[in-house]
Amino acid sequence: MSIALPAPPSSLPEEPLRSQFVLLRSLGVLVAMLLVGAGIVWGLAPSLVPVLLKYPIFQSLGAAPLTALVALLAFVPLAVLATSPFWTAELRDLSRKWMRQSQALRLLTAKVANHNENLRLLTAKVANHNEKKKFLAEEALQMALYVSLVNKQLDGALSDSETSVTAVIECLTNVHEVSSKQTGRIDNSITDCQHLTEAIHEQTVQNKRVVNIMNAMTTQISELIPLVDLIARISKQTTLIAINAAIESARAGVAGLSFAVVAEEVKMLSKQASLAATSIEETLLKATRDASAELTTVKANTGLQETLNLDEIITRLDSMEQRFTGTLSLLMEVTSAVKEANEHALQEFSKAFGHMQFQDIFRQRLAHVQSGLRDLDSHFTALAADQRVDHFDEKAITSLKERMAKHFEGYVMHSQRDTHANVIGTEDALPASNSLPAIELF
Amino acid sequence: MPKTILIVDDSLTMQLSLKANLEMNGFVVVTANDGLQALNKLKSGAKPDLIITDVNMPNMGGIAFIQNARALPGFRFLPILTLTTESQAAKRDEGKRAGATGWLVKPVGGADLIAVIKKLVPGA
Repeated sequence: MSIALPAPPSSLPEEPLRSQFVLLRSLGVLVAMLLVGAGIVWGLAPSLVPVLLKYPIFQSLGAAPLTALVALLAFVPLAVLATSPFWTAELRDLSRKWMRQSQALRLLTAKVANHNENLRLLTAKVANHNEKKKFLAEEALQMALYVSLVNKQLDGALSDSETSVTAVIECLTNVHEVSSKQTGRIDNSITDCQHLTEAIHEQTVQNKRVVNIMNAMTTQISELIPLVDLIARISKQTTLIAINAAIESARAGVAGLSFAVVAEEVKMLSKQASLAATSIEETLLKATRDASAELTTVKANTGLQETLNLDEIITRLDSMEQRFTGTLSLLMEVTSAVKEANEHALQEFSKAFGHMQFQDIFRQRLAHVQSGLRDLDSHFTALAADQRVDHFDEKAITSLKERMAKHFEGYVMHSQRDTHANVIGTEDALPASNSLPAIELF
Repeated sequence: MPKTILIVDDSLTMQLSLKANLEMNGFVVVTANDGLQALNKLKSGAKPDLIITDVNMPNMGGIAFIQNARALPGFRFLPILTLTTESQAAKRDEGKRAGATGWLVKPVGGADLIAVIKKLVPGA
């Protein structure tokens, strides 16, 4: 609220003492003239009083008072007339002075009225100022609440950001765990495949060996069968020879008895040979059946057709092994690609975790903002306290400029100092911390 | 055998992000909320292969923690890295005098951090 004060009077009244002196001097001259006139009349009174005493109205007064009265009434106009040259000028002068006094009095009255108006306006201003002080004090109290409110809001924002970042970290960690488990499973699969391939390889080798043995056995058996026939034929021939020898020994009589014994032995030998041939044949047939059964088993295990011969079986087994080996290579390529992707994901995770440090930087910057708000609150509180006292002491209050300078000293990050310098401007050069490396090993 | 890293930071975000990054790269991680807690862990027998500490923390700051840790038997030559927002040269010199092995200003990339650790911890 602004109040306009009236202008003071343009001129001031003359000094009142000088006017009073002129008045007294004029009165003195008048009195002196009256005394002179009274003396003159006092001389003429004796002849006038007897005339007046003839009238009853004056008889009651007596001669002496009447004489004095006549003298006074007769000589006043005379004295006035006699002294008029002296006091008329004084009266004129006095009149002018009174007029000036009157004018001065009016000016003084106007000035007093002006002062009164000023006083009234000043009183209103003081009242307004007091209201302002009261308002400021109340505002300062509200400022504390305001700062507290903003601080709490910042705390909330900080807490929210921390919660969010923590949740993101948890998610990334979970994803990484899942990825690690997946990689572990793939590694296990590779190991299993390697074991399977090795087992298949061993089985193939074994099968090949069995097939080869069977092949050789079959060949050998095939080669033995004619020999069995030979033995059987030899046995038959021997039996015939033994029968013939027995006949011939019988013909020879006594001389042929020993020959008959030999013939009998030959016959027995032939029988034994025949039995051996039969036994060999049975054994060979059994071996052939066993080999055939084994071969059937191999075919069944490898899924080969019943009609395939042994060479074809071996070729098929080789082909199967090659296919398994090829599949394993493909699987290892896929695994390698997955591992490479996982490595890349790990690097990205590392980067993401590095970027999350922003939250800590954000937290520290907000903490500084909160500190600034608290400082502002202190400043307003100090200002409010100062409003309650009449004496103003500038030194008792830390100015905002000083407080901002302290803020600058308290910064830890170059970005904070940079922002401060950009907003406030600083006469001093900023510390050259920005040129230092972010990573320094001592 | 995996190497153990002690992280000293009052920020939960920093603890978690560093822990996750280091564990993904095969390290075992132990955490402490401030210098005092970390010092008590060392006194209680913790034997980390490397320490990463913040500088501005409640109860006991990073610089004081490094000074106290260096005075303990067996920790004179242990690599101790500071990971902080503090970028002033004077503070960095203070850390160096206290016995810090290196000074890292946040934010530091995850891969860069792992590279520095592998440089300081043999067999990591």
